[in-house]
Amino acid sequence: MDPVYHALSLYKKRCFEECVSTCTELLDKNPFDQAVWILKMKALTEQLYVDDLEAEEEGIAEAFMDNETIAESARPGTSLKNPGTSQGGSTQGYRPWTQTGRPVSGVVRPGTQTARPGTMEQALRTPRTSKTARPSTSQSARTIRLGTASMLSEPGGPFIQLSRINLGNYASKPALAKPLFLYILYHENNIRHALQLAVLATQACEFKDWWWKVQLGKCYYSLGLMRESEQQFRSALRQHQCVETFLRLGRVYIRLDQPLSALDVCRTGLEYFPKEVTLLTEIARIFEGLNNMMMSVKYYREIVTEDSTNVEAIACIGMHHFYTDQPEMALRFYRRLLQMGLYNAELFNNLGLCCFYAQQYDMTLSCFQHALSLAKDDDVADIWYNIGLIAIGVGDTRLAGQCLRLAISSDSAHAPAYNNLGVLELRKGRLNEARAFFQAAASLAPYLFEPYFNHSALSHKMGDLQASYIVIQKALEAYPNHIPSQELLRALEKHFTVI
Amino acid sequence: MSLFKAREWWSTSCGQEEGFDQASLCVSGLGNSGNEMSMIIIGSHAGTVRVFCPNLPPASEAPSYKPSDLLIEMNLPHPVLQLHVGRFISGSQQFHLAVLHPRSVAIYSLVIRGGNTEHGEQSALVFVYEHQLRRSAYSLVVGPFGGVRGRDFLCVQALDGTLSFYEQESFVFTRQLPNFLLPGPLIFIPSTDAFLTCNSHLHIESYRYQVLADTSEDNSKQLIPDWSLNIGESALDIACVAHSTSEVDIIVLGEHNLFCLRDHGTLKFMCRFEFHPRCFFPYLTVPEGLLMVLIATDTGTLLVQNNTTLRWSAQLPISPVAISRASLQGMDGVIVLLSETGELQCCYLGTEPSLFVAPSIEPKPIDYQEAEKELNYLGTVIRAFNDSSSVLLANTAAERELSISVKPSQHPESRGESEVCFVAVNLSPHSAHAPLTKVQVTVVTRSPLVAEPPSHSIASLSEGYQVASYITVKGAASEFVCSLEVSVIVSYITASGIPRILTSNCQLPLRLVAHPCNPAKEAEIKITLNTSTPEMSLTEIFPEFNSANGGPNILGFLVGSKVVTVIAAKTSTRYRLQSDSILPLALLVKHLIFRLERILKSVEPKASIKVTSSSPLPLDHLFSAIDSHLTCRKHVADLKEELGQLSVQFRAIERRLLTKMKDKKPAPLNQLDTLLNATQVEIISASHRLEQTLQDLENSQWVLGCAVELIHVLLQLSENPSKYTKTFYFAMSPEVIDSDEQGWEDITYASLKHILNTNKKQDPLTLSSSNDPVIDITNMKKIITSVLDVISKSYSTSGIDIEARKPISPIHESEEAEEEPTVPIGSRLAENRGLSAKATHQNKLLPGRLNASAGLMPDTSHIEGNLSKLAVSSPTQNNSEDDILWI
Repeated sequence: MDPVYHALSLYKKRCFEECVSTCTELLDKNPFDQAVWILKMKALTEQLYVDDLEAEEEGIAEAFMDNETIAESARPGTSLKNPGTSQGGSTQGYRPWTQTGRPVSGVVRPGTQTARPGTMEQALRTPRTSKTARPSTSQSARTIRLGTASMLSEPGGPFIQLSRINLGNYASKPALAKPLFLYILYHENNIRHALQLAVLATQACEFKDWWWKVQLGKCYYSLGLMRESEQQFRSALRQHQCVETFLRLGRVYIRLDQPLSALDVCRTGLEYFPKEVTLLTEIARIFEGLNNMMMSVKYYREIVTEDSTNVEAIACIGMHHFYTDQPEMALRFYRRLLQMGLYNAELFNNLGLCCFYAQQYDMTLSCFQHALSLAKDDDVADIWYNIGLIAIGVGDTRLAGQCLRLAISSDSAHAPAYNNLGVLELRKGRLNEARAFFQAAASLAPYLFEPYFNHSALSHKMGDLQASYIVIQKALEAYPNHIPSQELLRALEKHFTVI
Repeated sequence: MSLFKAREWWSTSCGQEEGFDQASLCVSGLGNSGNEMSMIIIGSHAGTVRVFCPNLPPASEAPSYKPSDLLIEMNLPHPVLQLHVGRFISGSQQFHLAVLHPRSVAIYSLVIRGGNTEHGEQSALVFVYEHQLRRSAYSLVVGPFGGVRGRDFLCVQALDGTLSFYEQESFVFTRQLPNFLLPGPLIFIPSTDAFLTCNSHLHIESYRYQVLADTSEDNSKQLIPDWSLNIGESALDIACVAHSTSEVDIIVLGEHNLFCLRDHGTLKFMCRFEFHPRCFFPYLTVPEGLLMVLIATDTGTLLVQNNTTLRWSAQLPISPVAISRASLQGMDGVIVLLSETGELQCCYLGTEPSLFVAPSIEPKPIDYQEAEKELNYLGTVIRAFNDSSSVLLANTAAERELSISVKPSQHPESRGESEVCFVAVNLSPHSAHAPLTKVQVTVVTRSPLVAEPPSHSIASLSEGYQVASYITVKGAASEFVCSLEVSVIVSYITASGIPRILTSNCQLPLRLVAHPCNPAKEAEIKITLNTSTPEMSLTEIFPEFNSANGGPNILGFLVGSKVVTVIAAKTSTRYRLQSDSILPLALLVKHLIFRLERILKSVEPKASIKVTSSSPLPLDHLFSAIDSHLTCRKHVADLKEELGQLSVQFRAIERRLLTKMKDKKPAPLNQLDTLLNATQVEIISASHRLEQTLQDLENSQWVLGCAVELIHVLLQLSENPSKYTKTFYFAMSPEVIDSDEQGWEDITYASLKHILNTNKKQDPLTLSSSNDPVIDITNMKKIITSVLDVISKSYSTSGIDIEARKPISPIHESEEAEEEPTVPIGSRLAENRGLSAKATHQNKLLPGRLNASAGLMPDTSHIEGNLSKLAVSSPTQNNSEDDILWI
């Protein structure tokens, strides 16, 4: 059999390593075989291909050196930075918030993890936990993966010496330039070289190829040149409508913190590609980021009618039901995920909680047993915390205390566990310990209002009205509409005016 | 990930390691049967062609592979790349098999001989004709090219992009595809009589057969595609589905998208995948005419889509490289799958969900009584863990495992400008069999003494070992040394995995910091010590400091740049230390006592000496040290603030510059670069100043440390030590450490306040929790004097006249009264304010004056009143406990 055919067949079967080694042998024999050279390039690229739309994280540099933001304090409901301002969204009282001040999402995505900090100082301070000592940097996950891969490359130096390559030569030959571009972008992750090639190539084809415009936009996007990237995507969309281009244009607007424009783009995309799942997902995520849960869930429901196996949609709808006090409904969604073959600690944890709140107590403990047996280091703290919650629910304070302590032992920055331990100590009458726990929780997680409120209530009870007054203001900062906090503040103010 | 599982209906496996590909599977009828009844034809890269015809078993039996299902198995000499069925023999309407080998394409016809034995008919493939190829073949396309009826022609795509056309037995022409680099999928669309391929430009291009045929005669003419569509990714496969003779859908399986095109090259719809597709098969449902696409993913899931909507998804038993749909003996829509290793399966979509059942984890039932017993036992273990007695126990065990001896060299060496003392640590483990691992020896000194290296680590220790550190005075600031004590901390892990820590102390020689010099007759500060020792001359006590400069009763020490004179009384056992500075005094007092004890112990091991001093406490010096330390800290904080502001400004300018640079139209920089430079210069100068100030801060920390140490030494030597002396020592530490958020003053203030509060037997609930940073020296002074008063008051109970202490209080009563309103209002409660004022008032009364008791009376009543108030208000606050929030 012809070895070139063999290599092509391996490529089609996605056996990239074998394909690369076959190509290497062929290139040793005939180094000028362009077809084999391109095939090897494609195989190397595919080997490392990551859907960069899904693996995207905003780092400090991007968030801080962002000079594109239009309004510092955006009008309510128009910015992803302060989702709490939107109308009709869920509040912290029902659905807990993440560190970033966004409501907890049904699935963990890159964007849901990092904060959009207000200032550099805040950014440097906040995201440090017991797990990571450094704030997340730009392009983290993808770059690390690609960086190591290109270093591993192969004996005898890298496949292509980018510095020696004459990009101008290749730019005019699209058959070579396109795979070469993808190789530079995905395998070498050298955005500047890739951009150079894209600029030359798009000139060579007289700006007629929309593909090059999208690639230019991708390069500009990763270099943080949002307006340029927007221009390229728009220009590409005028020539040819493609789902990916709509998605990428939407991402540009999200980065510019203009979620409403991003929604517009995705809706325009839906006119061309009705019921396209990826576009619907994007819309649902944006609404979730804006804290507009009703709309978000509406779109997730549309996704489920289109693709009934979409895990993200099912999980998010389940989460929504859970936090709107319908644990039985949530249980059905999570059970579907389990039946579909999802088998991880998070799912069992959620199942356990749903069972508990749906009063199916017999299932609760076995779900948590499963969750513990499957748990990895990252989430074992949360599982212990939830078991602690169950123990509090059934009134076993001894078990609760032990579970919460276990949660803290596996994640020393678990603020909710500190808070609940504080409440347990308070029940036992050890007021100073309780106060220390509340203070620890508040210092670890300034976005939670519960430790502040508890601390304030405790101080009030202990007669330290001044401290109570100071702390309750912080609680109201974290959650302005919390009625008991407001009442406490009013009582304190009244007290002070009397004095 | 799906709820359902594709059910296996019939399966077999073909050969071993023969190698199969997307093109290795062909489902079609051979011979006369046409497309009515499908046969499954498989060709392997090893050169074997197999024809299967699965038979429907009788209803009673479960369907399974039977040897009679395999009609033909034939070995060919060359690898089989692709198979096609069509009417390839002129004059025959029968369907024949075209087999593509790398260098040839061969046509076989199926011959069935009737038989009367049990296994029935006998089939064979008979070679008919063959075309030799000049180039390595990539794929084969068959169809009625040029609109012929009842005949199928062949087209072979070579690896280099040459298309060779054969009208059945005869060769017609060859044609090179333009823009060709790597071969892509190629199909023929009968309705438009065109060939469709995806080229290396990532375009789908359509070439009419007529155009291909015409241009082949004239090579100078450029081959122009009929239409072309840029799909932006390479296609894995292309297929066409005919709705009717005129309406055709072209389905393109890209690497990340599925495209559906109309026959004139416009996009009908597309959908994006979240997975990598492996192979697909589009078809139309009968009679609705809906376009369905079967897609197999790399995760082993089969998706059935109608346009973009997912209709069904099922888990596949194998991971296929080729997928097709067959009608077998009256059973329509059997899904045929072929895997890379040659597993062939016919499946159907079972509607009974195959629910995932999580494996159970703990089959062992729990014995609740046992478990409770264990829980109680563990509970006691946990409680015992917090007990301090077990720590002691652990330490004695540690001493049995390892003994440490620390020996400082008695004669410091001179190294350059500074003196160096050598500290040797001998480690001797008692058992050679169980080595101690991860041994770390840390030499801890108090600044400005520095140990070099500060710690040693030994991976494994089984026999005696010696490590050594050099101790020097940082910056030759000998006068700031207030303690010559060195502690050595050894931590290790025993053979049984238990971590242990041992500590050992030693004294460095005085010569490290002090030198003999001329005694000074007069000095500002004098400290007199009364001892119970027999008379000793100073030459006995300090033999190494003998010099001609003083007599036996007077000695001068030069500590750094400060002179300390020690005078021994001629008639009594009293010693006087005097100096102009308080810095070295603490060190010398401690050292003198240490030496006296040592000498006495060498004579009389059981004797104990009593050293007392009635010298006044040098509080003025302490306060001035605190003052300068506070000033330094404030200075540092100011500088840090300034640095912070400058860097914010720097980043702001950077941002402006960045905006300018990113602008399309080059705009003038408006002196932003100058501003940037200037800010940088300022940042650098501020950093230099900060460095300088940090040095000053360190100095002031040392001074403060010396002053505090002296206070503590004198308090200990006071004639009747109070029970608070020790507490006071821990509350006001001579080790001055300033962190970013908390300085020494803050810590000390808080601890002293605590002493005061607990001393007053106050209700602990009314303690203010505020830890505001101390800004004011007056607060500090006040609280220190108050605490000292508490300490001295505790003497008064033992009846000792401390009237002598009175003059040392630096704050006069009148002053204090004025300062009262400066009690931090923000941190105190309204009700407490009166209380604290009273408390200060009480503290102000010097002990020994009996009217103190009068002051106590109203105080207690006040506390009681306060308590009752709390009690009254508590019921209303009980409600708030119910509001306590769980998260």
